[in-house]
Amino acid sequence: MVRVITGTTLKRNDPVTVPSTTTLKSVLEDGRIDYANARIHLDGSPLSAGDLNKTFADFGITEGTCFLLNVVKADNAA
Amino acid sequence: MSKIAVAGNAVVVTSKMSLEDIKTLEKYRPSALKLMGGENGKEELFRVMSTKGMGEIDSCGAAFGQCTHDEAKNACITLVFDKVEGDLKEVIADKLGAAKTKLDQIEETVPAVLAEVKAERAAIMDGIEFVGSVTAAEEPNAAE
Repeated sequence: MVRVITGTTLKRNDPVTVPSTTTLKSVLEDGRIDYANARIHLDGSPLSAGDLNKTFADFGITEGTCFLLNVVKADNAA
Repeated sequence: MSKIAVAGNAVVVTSKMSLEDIKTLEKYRPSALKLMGGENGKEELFRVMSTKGMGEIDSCGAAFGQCTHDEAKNACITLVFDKVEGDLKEVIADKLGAAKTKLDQIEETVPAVLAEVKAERAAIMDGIEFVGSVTAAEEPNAAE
């Protein structure tokens, strides 16, 4: 079982416990996290296209706590 | 109370609840499958849920994906404990002991909640009325 903390850089949701065979996308959808307009990071690493349909077990996460965060892409001010 | 059985390297954790009961509670009373604690009782300590596959269990929660093949159809999780060093019983007690205790606590409260859910559902179904059915004698073209 994996304890997943979802959220954004500004706000973290309460942890949710899910089986490691759960896809990242389903956790984001259940947590109502918008993954369309931002970069999703899993434990600090940015994810690529198609990664959201993989399970936590596919990433080697089968127990413990992990962070699945929505990081908005923004240009730095000139 | 849940049971843990060992056959070779396979360890089966069988719940007193059926898989159907767990799915019913997930749908109508998901809070009944959670053990809360911590400060102000707001921290989720353990959670029971349904899943697909063999299932998983650890100190955070239990996900049941299968059921026993007898009439009881109790929810069960099958794990494989290979490459175990030392006494298998002690290893199982270390890894699953805390989870089993929390699972048993949830199982104690489930029957009352299930009875409540079933009563509510029966009351809702009693309130559903079929109207607008037409008998053969009432059919508009019956006399023609």
